[in-house]
Amino acid sequence: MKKSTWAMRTATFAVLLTCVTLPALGAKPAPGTGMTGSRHDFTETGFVTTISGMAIGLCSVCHTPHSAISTQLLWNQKLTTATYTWGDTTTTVGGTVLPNSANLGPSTKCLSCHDGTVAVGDTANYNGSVGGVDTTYTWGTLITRIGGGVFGVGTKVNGVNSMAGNHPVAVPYPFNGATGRYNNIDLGGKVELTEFVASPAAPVKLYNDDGSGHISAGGVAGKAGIECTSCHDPHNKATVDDFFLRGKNNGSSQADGYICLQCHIK
Amino acid sequence: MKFSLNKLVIAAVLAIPAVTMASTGGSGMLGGRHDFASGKSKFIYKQADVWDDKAVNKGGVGLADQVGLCSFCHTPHSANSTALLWNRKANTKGYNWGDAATTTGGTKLGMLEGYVGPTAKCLACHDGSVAVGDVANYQGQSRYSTDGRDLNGYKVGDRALEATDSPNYEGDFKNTKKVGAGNTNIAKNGTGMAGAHPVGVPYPFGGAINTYNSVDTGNDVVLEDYVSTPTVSKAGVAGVKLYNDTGTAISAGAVPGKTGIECSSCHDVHNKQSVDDNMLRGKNYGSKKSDGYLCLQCHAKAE
Repeated sequence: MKKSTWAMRTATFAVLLTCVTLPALGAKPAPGTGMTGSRHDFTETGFVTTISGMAIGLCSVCHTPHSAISTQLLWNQKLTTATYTWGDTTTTVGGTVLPNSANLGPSTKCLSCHDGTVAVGDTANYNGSVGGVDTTYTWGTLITRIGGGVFGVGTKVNGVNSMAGNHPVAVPYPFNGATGRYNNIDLGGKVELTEFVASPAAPVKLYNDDGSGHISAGGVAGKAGIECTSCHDPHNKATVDDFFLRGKNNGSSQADGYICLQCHIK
Repeated sequence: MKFSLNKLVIAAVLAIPAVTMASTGGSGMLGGRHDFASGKSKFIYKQADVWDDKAVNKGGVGLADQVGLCSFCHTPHSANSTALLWNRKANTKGYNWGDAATTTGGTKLGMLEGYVGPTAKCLACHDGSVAVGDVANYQGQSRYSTDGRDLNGYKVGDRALEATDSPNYEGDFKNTKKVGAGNTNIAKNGTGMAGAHPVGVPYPFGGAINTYNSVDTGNDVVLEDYVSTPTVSKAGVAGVKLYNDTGTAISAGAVPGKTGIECSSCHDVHNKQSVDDNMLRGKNYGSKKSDGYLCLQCHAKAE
């Protein structure tokens, strides 16, 4: 009896695991239509679901009303503690030093799933007091670990967490065509200031650093910067294209909403 | 060792309901998580079995059926406060939110000592500093009160702070009831209300800046990210309960410009207007506002 239950569970586990690892089969929700059914929806209506089958609310993989890891954003997902390198370079061509951590900024929270070191669903869930805890993922229910492919941003290369090949995040932006400091990094001396849009239009989102590493939304002269969430809205609200993009993934002009040209003047 | 057996039994009966026995949302007080009186109680009634043993030695009786369903929080006479005829030891603390002074939207967090909103009453049990059984009981005139406090020393939320070799150790399980853990000055774990959803703060009712508990909606709050007029919670209807700050008191109901939220915005402590366990006014799981998922009753993130 026990054996067959276990066998069934194992089979279910395998089937669900397959569902998780092959998410591209589901229908994609339209950009800007919110969380439900999106790639960030881990409920039964979602793109991927928990392999444990544990019921979870739309918000709860990332947020919790009580016993959160951090009060701001009521964060419920185990945070990455990784420091990063950027592979073949330590600065941009403009000389801006690439950070080894996004520190207190929103990118840290993105990377807590997307850097390949923390499993999606390694969730605090009321500090581990609710279901799904096992010895490997003591913080909650493993869903999947995003290590590679297009959803993986950071990867582990020879034991080192690498952001190689990614657009810089947690770095200063030349807001108003001027230099600035953000995440303890000064804008590189060789940055061609005129090649950046002075004040990118919404929904592209700039941030500012109060000097102590605390990041708030909005570009502020001298202390503006960019995060993952400058281009992506993880809640699929201020998005106009797939991948939670705040601009179009394809196109050739800023006016068309092509994402890259919202900041880069080329 | 003197408490070992009693403590173990209490731990067992308290631990089991906390983990396995849900209460049905909307089914009322009786048998719910806030029923400390009846034969259906998950908590105090069970303790009374232990208490009998102790009470016999003192010529007393167990608390079961000696305390009414309402009396753990309210009393008709000698109340601590006339409003709500409050019968509990008042919390005498202010609270901070530990690692954050504001929300990411810039709304100031904090609750001063003497705050008059309903949250202060919730925290009189749920901040981990006051025992559930620390009841005024007719201002201490009740014949059960003296040892009752000892019997009912179970605090909501501080159990796991005890080391396993401590004489107060009551079981190896997590703080399912933990809400706040300390106060502003002598915070346990140095955290206060850290990690808890803000309460005693303004809600951007009507998609506008509101002022509540002397706090303004923060400058960086994205007003469109909030449901302008949330559904009002009723029996069988998922929603929330908003409050307004009259300047001297907190009243039920949203009023433009002075609306805010309390613990009881999401929880109905009497389990009447709730639709899910934990006395929730909305469902704990789900992905749509229309399905009654609680978070989305206020946060416009889904559609």
